[in-house]
Amino acid sequence: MSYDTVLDRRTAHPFPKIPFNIEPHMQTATLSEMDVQLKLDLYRRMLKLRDFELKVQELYRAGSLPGFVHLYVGEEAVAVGVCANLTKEDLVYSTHRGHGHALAKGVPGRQVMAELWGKETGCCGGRGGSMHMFAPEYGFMGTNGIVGGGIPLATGAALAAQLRNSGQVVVCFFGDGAVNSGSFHESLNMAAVWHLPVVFACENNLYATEMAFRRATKNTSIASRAAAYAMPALEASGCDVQETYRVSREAIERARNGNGPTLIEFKTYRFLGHHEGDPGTEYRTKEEVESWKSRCAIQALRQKVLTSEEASQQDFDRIQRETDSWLEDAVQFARSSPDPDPSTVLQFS
Amino acid sequence: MTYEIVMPQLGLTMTEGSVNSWCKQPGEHVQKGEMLFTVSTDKVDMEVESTASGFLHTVVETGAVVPVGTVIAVLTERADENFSAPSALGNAAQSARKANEEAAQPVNGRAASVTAVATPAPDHKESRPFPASPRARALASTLGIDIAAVTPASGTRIVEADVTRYHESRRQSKPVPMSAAKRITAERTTQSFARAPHFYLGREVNATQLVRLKQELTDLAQKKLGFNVTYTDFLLRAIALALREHKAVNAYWQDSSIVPHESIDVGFAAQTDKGLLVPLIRDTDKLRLFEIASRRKELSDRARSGELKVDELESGSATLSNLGNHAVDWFQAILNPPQSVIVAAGRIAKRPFVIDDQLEVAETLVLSLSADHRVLDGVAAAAFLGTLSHLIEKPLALVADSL
Amino acid sequence: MREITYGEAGVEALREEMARDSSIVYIGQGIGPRGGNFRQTRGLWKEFGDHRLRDTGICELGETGVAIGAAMNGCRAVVDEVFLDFILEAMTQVIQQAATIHYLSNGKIKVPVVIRGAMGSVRNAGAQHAHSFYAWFAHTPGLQVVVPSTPRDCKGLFKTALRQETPVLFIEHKALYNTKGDVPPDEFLIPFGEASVRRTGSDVTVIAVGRMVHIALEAAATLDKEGISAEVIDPRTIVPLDTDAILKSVRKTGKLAVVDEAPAMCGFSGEILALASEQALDSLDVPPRRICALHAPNPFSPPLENQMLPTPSKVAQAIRQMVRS
Repeated sequence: MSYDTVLDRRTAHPFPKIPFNIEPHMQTATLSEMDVQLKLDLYRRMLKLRDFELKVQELYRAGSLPGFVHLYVGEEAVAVGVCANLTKEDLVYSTHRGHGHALAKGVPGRQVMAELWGKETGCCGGRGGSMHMFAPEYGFMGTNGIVGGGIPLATGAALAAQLRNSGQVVVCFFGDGAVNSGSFHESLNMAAVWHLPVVFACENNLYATEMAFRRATKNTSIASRAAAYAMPALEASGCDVQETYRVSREAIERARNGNGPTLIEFKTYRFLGHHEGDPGTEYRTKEEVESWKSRCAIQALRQKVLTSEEASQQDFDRIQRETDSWLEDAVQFARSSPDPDPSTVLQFS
Repeated sequence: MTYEIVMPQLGLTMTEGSVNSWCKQPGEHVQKGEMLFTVSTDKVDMEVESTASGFLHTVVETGAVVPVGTVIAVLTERADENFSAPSALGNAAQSARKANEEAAQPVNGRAASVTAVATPAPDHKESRPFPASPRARALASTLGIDIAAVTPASGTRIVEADVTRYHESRRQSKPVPMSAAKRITAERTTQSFARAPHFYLGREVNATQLVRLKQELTDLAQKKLGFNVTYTDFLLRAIALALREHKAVNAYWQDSSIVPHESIDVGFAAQTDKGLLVPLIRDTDKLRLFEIASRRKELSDRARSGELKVDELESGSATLSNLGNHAVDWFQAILNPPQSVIVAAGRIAKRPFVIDDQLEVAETLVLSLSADHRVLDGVAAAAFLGTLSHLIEKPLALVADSL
Repeated sequence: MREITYGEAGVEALREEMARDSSIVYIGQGIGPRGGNFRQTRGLWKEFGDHRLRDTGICELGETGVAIGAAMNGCRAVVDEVFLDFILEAMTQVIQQAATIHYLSNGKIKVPVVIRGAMGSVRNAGAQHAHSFYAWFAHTPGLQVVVPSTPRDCKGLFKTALRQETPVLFIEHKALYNTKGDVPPDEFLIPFGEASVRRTGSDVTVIAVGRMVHIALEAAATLDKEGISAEVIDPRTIVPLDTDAILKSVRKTGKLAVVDEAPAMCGFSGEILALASEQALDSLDVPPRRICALHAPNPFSPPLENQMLPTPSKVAQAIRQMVRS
């Protein structure tokens, strides 16, 4: 018996199809005809992300929030499209620009806001802050201050899922800045050779801090890199949540069915600077920014739905009001929450 | 300008002494003539005046025994003046008598070499040259030892072992504090015993008549002296008369020759708190019994109160040591230099005695004579003892000078 | 008692624990069919297969991160760097991720990962394969650091490590894999934070870990003939550190020496000296000493490396000076 045969025999185990908790209205038969409920749901989710981040910007500028923040404004369709296909048990590994991922995965707005505020009631009791936000009860396995830091972790989590036969899918978010790092390369290779249930979701917003991707890289097609690992790849426009939703589903189902990892390149853009305090215009042209703003996914979906008369302005107003009160509640909660007790500084150390 | 104060020569036989106490504090100003310190010699404690004026810097520790002539203090003109510790060699070179008279010799600070002085003076507080390890410090603190008193074996740092060693040495021999007199006695008896070839003669004497005479003189003594005459007084008179008759006994050995004493001075052993003293009665032979008694009493009292003068203790012809009051039948005493004989008297007690071939009970006294064989041989000593015994047996001779 | 090698002891520990806990997954280079460069996983792949023992390419950063991620999702992961020197490729995952996640998640996420590797010099391996930087991990909050020096300790401590809820650096020594020692055949665990008094003595306390324990014992044997009684203590775990045992010994002897294969500057040796001066100053009789590697990368040529590293005679000489000062 040759070594290869032994390997194949031992790794090839059937991965059972485990029923999972995706809400019924999400399980559309054909994605080309998403029903209006789903569309509105996706809209609502994106709006929450958008308004939340703008509020964070406001609070940060007012001096209420310690540390620094990296805002997700403009990329909502990616987080929402991907996470709408995930259960609570599935895991998400995020980046330094992760508030959107956290909210999209289901972490309550109150907990995210309080954490940004450094309060005791934050999802990490104030210990983590923006870049170290964990909420495992929602499958949210952390934003990360290190570029590419979460990629091996996500791969490992997928290994555990495979070993334990848990049926979980792990989604790893990262940006164009991470694809040149060693951790990206090493993780994708391992995920591929071990057939791990992980989706590598790259948010290519064309800039890593101030470095344009095209200036840092010769091969500007991120999706094409998957071929180096014999891994399937997909692409999607971040300006269309229906597309991000559809593409994510394909990758997630592949993983769920035991058919290994996928690399998805989401072509998206952040409307604001790299971090709050960076205008984002020193290395980008105003025209470019405006061009992407005009293709905002939230705006686009609303237009589409209104135009097709699937829903009315009242529906959207209602959604806005609901979002407003949800946000107001989150801010109030965070603002009035107590600070952590300094004497607990060594707890969990 | 500094003046050296030296250990003075007090008395012929003094070779060394110790400062008992200082009458002034270090740093204090002393006037010439003021009492500066008290000194313990082999015989007495004495107060000594300062031979110069100045600010006092003590050089030797109290109690430390130093040879006569040693610089024991320095007086400086100014309070803060620096001076070099005087060299031990410089001290030894001085002759005894000269140091006593001319102690105030100005010494140029630079000329006197700086070498180690007799003993480390505790008032030199500037010395703390050895660091001590924390462990050593902690141990010293527990044992109540002053870490500054410990010397490190390594010569660099005081460690635990040094403290332990110091503690052990302190614990082992805690000498009993001894007075100067006791120390001197020890030294002198050792010397005497070692140098003078002792031989001993003993004689039991019928003291019946002596007893009666003493008794009969009681009233007279009370009236004239106010106190009783003692056996010691009789014995002293007897020894003096015997010495007069046996001039060869009243001599001493010195530098391979026999030197006669100039007078007859008989001493008697007196026990005091400080130790054994032997006050002398000068010209004992010229004194009558009652005079002897009076003198003896006075000297005893002053011996006990420590008021004897040096010349009351020096030299002498013979010594009487009377242990009759201590229930001793007889004993042999050690010669008291520069004397050639010492008479040891036991108690007068009723003993069986043969008189005229008859066994009777008589009051007898056993005399024991120790003699220096360099000066006397057996026959001479026996003759002396014979005379002495005769005087005791027929004691009227002791009071016959009125006739 | 039966004698097995240090390497065999580690394998035994792994076998027992992997059988006991089906969530243990072992990741590393050459640890599968090959059985490990130091034979540190010999025979395990045959028993557990490559589901549980995952050979990788040369990607320490990825491997270590994968192990940590697996530990975050219900597995107990072991990543074998083989040569601990190679952990440097993965430092960001160890320091930035493994060490911090439990704390930053407010205790919600546990990271039961064991990071294994062999430190120290063996056969003049050269500068890049001979590091002893275990102190860097001890210096990082959130990590436990284990440095076994005997086969028995290797097995007992490895088993304990494989039951921890927080990350463990399990640091063996390359030169000790073939050393033999008594190891009980039945189940036993050695708790963390418990030092081992390898040799009782009264004149000087000598602290050493890993291969240096044996150097210290050799020196102690020599000194014994000269009437100097050295007490050799092996902390076994740097974090948590058995400070009580160390201080008790220092208070007894009053003299402290530390033997360390790493350089002195900012190292473990300095930590022990600080401990003694903070908590046992009044017991110290002489200044404490440390016998460490000289401050240079490990040279290749044997005379050069021997000059650089602590030896029994260097240790003995230092102790003589302390005792006779």
